Amino acid sequence: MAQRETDADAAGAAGDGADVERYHEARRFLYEEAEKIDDREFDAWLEMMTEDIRYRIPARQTRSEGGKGEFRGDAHHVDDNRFMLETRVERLETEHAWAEQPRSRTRHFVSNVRVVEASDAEMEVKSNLLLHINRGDDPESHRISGERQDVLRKVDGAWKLDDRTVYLDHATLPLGKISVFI
Amino acid sequence: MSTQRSNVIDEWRAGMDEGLVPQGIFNDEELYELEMERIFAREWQFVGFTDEISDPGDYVVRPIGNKEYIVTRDEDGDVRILLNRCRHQGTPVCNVEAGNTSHFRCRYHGWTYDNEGDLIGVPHKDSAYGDDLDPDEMALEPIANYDTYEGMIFANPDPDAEPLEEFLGDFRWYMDFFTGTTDEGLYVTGPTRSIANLNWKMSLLNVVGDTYHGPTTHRSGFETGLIGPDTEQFGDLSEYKLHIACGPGALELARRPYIAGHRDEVKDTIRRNVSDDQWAVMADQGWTPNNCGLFPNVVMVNLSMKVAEDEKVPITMVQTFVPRGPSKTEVFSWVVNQKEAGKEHHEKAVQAATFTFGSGGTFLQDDIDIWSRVTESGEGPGPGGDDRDMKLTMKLDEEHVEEDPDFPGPGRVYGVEFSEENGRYYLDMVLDALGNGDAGADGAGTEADAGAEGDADTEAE
Repeated sequence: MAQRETDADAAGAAGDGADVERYHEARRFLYEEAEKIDDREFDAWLEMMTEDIRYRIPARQTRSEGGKGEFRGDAHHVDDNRFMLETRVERLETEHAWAEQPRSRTRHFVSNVRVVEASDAEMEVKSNLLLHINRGDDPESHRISGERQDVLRKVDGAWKLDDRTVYLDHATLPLGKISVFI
Repeated sequence: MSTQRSNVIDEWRAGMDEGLVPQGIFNDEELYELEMERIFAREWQFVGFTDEISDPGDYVVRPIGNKEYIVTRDEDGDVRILLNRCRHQGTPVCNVEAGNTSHFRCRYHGWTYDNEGDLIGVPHKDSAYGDDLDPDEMALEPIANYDTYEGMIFANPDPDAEPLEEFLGDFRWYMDFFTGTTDEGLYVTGPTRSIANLNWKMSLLNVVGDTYHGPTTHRSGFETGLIGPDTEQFGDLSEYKLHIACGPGALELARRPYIAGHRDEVKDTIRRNVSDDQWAVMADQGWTPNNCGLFPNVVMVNLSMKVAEDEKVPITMVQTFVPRGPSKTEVFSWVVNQKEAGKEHHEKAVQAATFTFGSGGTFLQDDIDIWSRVTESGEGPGPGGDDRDMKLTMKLDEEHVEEDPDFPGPGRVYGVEFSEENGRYYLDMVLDALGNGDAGADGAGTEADAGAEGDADTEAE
């Protein structure tokens, strides 16, 4: 899909051309990555990760200080390394991953993309996530929201996801289980 | 009183001896109310670990039945469990889940309590009340009973409850395998919390002894190599297993030495903390209490799980399945470790536990999904045949249950590959606690309960 790479105003980015370019690269990466999940092209999705990928969804506790101060513990809903992500994908490709039989229909809405720090080799990117999940003939859907903090790294000329932390807006997970990629 | 409900309990009671259990026990609303009254207002319940509130002023808020309690450590270092309810007009005095504070101030009219629960401040006391208010009579209501065992905090709202030690009884012999093999205490990670559309009994019924679901429910685990022949976990499904029913708990032992995967220093620690008999089981006989349920709603597991293709770690998890409605359950999940195992090992174990039996775990998600469907499909009334029973009939014939003469642990021990005996044992405990099930018209006393409650008092709090 064509990107309007010179339209800094539309992109909402400030600064010189390199900043704008990185913003577009980050945004393109995140959109493409979301598409791979929602289209269930998980092998292609895995190819967008580095070998050292760490994929975390920390548990949140309601605390008076609020904000990131609510992520004080070391408990996680998900804390995957490459082996674990690959195993999850392999599992989904069997016919016996019952939590995903029938498949959930996911829609990742990724927005508010901010490039926090960037070099030619590495980018730190924040974005907002709204994930809509529907399954079977259930008229009710689940919504999960949170902030992603990602580190993208250039590997052989292509950006790859090297580290992701999803800071959920939920203290109690409104799902019985996480069977989809958030 | 509706007849629908007595039907469920009556049918349950009538069919239990034959292993026939109406599926309606997973979603019947009146049964749920009775469970709240007879079980969650009267029985010992696990609320958290002492390590979660290690410093004076630390607190967490936890559910007990349908009420919220503040579990805190006071300035003297003692654990306190206080109803989260201002004595003035019932406002919760604590509105977050965890933190550290020396006092709780009600946001409505400003009554202030210290963390022993004493009322220490009443705004405009003289002009509002003069001498009519005695602060000594207005402390935050403490839970009637609480106690700790091996770093686990248990609470019981019933003033006439038997002591925790008596409630746990011989079952402590097995609890040691989960939380009791340490001198320095436990690393505790968690809890994570998630809400699932299932009945709280569902998970316990499974974890006490349903090996039979493994090959089908967790088939993807075998297919991806997380468990199975090349691992220490469920290496050979046909292997001899021990099913044990003991006091308030029931469990399964897997043919895997408990001490396997632990460093030598940790093995030494374990050895120091267990009896000769327990050590024989963990080391010489090569058993691990793998999955275990403690009445009414605690799950404990010892597993060996992968963090990498060629690396496995022993993990210990404790979970509570807290009822939030007839077909809604909140899952609290902790990972624990002997401190002697080291922080690095603990972090690995937490990662492996999260990956397998956490809220996003590759195993638990299939369990949860199936339990939710069972809960849902039992909803009645509606069309269908007369058969609304679950068949917990496997190995109903006692002749098929053989005692293992070499096993030194307490309880009823039998070696068998697949059995639903522990599931029946667990549901029998639930039925016993419910009494005769005559909710509205109660007062005549429950029939011959095994419990120590001597009266038929039905008031909820």
